[in-house]
Amino acid sequence: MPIKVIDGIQYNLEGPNDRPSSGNRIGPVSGSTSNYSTQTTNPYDVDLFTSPILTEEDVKNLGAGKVGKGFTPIIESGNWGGDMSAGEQWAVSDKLGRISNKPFGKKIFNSKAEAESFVADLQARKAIESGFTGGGGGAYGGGPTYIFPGYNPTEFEGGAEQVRRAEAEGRLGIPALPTVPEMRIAPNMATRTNKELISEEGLQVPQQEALTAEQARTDTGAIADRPSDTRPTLGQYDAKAIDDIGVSEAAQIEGGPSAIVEAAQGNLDNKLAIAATSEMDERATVQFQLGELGKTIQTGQPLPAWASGAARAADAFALKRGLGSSSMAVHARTLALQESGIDIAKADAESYRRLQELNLSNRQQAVITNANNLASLETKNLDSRLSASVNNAKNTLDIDIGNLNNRQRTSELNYREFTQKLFTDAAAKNAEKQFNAKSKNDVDMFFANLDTSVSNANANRVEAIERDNARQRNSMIEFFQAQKLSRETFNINTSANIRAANSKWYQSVATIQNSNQMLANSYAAQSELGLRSMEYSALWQKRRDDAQMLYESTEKDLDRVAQAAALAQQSAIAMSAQKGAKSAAMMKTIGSIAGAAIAACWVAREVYGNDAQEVYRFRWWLEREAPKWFNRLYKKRGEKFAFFIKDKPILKKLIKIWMDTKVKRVEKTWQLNRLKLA
Amino acid sequence: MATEQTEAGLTQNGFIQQDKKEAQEEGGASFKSMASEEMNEVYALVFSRFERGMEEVQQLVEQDTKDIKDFKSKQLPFDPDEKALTEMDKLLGSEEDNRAAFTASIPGGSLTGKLKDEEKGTLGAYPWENPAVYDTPTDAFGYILESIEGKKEDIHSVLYAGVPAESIARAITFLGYTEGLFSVDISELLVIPLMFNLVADAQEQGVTARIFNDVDEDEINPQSALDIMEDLKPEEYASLMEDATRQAEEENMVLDELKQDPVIGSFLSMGEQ
Repeated sequence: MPIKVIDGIQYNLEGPNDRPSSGNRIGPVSGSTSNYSTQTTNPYDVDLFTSPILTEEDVKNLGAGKVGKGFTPIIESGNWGGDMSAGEQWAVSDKLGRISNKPFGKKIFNSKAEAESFVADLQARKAIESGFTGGGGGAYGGGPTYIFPGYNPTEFEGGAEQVRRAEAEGRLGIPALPTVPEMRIAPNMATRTNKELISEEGLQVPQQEALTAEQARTDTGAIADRPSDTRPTLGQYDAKAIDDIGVSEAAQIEGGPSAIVEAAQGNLDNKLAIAATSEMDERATVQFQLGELGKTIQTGQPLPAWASGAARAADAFALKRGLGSSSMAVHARTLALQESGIDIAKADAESYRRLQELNLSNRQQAVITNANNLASLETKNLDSRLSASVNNAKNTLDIDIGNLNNRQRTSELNYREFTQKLFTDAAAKNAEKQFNAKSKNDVDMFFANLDTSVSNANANRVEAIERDNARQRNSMIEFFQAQKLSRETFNINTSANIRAANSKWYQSVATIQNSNQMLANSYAAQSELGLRSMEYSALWQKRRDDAQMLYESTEKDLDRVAQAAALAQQSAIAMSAQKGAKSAAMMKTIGSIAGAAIAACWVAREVYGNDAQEVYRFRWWLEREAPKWFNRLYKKRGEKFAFFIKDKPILKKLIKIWMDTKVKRVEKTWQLNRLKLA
Repeated sequence: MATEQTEAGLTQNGFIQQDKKEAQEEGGASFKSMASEEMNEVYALVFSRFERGMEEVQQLVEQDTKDIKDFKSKQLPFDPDEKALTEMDKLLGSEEDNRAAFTASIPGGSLTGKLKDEEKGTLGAYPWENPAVYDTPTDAFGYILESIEGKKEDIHSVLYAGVPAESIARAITFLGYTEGLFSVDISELLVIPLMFNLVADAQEQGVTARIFNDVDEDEINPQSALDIMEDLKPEEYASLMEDATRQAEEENMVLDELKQDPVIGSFLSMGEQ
């Protein structure tokens, strides 16, 4: 049906014999002198129809704007969403987002509603990019309105007709949600890999691989059904990542170009210093975050998850009132979409602001960011591990790290990072193997208990710190006692798991050479320490937990030995150590003494790195198989020699080649011993 | 001959399955006494460093226990002047350092730890999951003594400063275990001998070292006796409490009277007169 414009006024002519009159007058043309029809009201306060809503890339993808001549535009004011008839073909005709029923270009829609919906999404994107914060009414394209289960067509005027049309167009029931593929990382924001919420590099990752909807549903089953939960907060993530909540090593922060370089190099100390800045990062603004969110609405793709939930809710609401095809419904839908975007943008901006104010290291930011991402999930359909992970994330966010001093903040975030790791996908797989889980239920039970453990530890710690801050006596002693009680409960609830895990551990340390001696040591330990079987098992478990925590939660050697010293004391701390229990300085001193005495494998550490497995194998060789003279020489001169080769990479490489031969020899010996033992 | 272990097999020795018969046939001597004998060697080495042997060790233990109890009993009710403490913190620039609360491991956390081979589920990603360097208590103790030889000055300094020998011994043995030098069993077994060895070292340098981190509370003390009395002799307990309350009230009354009718005026009032 043609639109005719005379003296800037549009008329909707019904046929070749119809003439412009007040009866078919639409209104004045606004902002455009072309003979295309335009909208007269604009709820976004953004000029949507006189400036392109399609980007150049959109145009390229759609093939829009190529068929201009002789084309009759079909947009008619107040008539959007009115024609739902099947069998027609539609397309977007130009950058302004107008549509036509003369099919052309690459993207063809099978109904007008589809085309309108597509354009509506583009309008929403543009509105968000423009910082839209709400507006008046108006008539804009509506998306496909679904007839949800439970809809009673007799309650509404024209309800039966709506159902008939919906059925014809496949809009009956709850629509499948192909939302995940377009969930893309917003440029400059934190990103993640398959195993991480935030990538290790975390810097300027412009695009992220999209996942299929199937992948998104595979692991959690529940995530894709709650698109509004999966908001692209600081660092977009996808549903699969929720199952793989591996904790990142570093997030990103832009404290300037040099900070990025430093961060990429993984130099945390430098990064901290450089990241300190008094200038407000633009990411801490709502405007920036809105713009970034807008970019997640991709041309040719369905709405992103964070937006589609709100849009669907608005559709359902309108439909229930018989307004499914009206312009009001369209507006309500778009408005809901905008509002959901604003909330997210505000939250993201606030998070960035807080992170920036605290000058956290990238690694520390990653902890908060991961917690932010996880905490937005609902736990009702998650298994015990994921549920625990979400609980832990919420708990992390409950702590006002702004109120902690620098030392406490570092400790808190390191600790939180450690607890986040306990619930990763990798952690679940490890646990399954560690105690030979027979079913998923075994694993679920274990993680439910671990969840309690972590929750108790968090609560105990928070209370202890509060009491200690209030200078209450014995707060730390009582903390250790509370932890002891929590451990005892855990041991009782998971005794079978612990025994199985200890047994496996024992097998990994026992060789044909040492098995008798280990057994004898075991008897002696139980006898001397007066331990019963279960207590003995619990001791092994505790020491293993202690050691693992030590290795996974501390990043610097000095902190590690200090923590080792503190871990070694635990419930034995009191009296003079009552004050000392609080004194990290004292523990650092004790730890450094112990550390220097014990960790005397300088050259191997210099060659392989501090925590490398090869260091321990080489030491084994040194103590068991190396010639006596070499053993003595190494212990006497090793430290100085390690210092000497520190800046001599070629020499280090040569030494490594030689050491590798010893390491391999030890590995073979162990392997052989285990085979014999088996 | 190796002792066989199975995952399911649990005996009186906890998670370690052993074929006792086989062990006895092969080893002759009982396993139970093997490591204990080695520990005796270690103890003999340490206690021989004290001039009067075990008698001296016993005295040192008694003295240290007494010191700890005295220390605890002399602690006044903790009622800090918040303002003064805050001012002191400002002056000294100190931040509350309660990071000890972060040094408690999560029960079961290690069961989520890394595996050396994820497919096979093989352990060994961490040093303590590999065969230890030292299998016997004597070898391990020898290594520790040798390795702390160069750190003695530092150790004496912290002992002199009042850090208990137990703290240092626990730190060293625990670190040795985490480094894969010896097993959990050995690390626990060596705490006491190492602790006394440090005390002997300190004595040689003329330093009287504190020994223990803490001692257990006496099972019977005035408070615990009262608690028992409350349960078993409630009437006598009530009477005792009544007397105590009356006595306190009388004392308070006397104090109040003194306040209301001061016998001696202040210097200022005297001056006015």
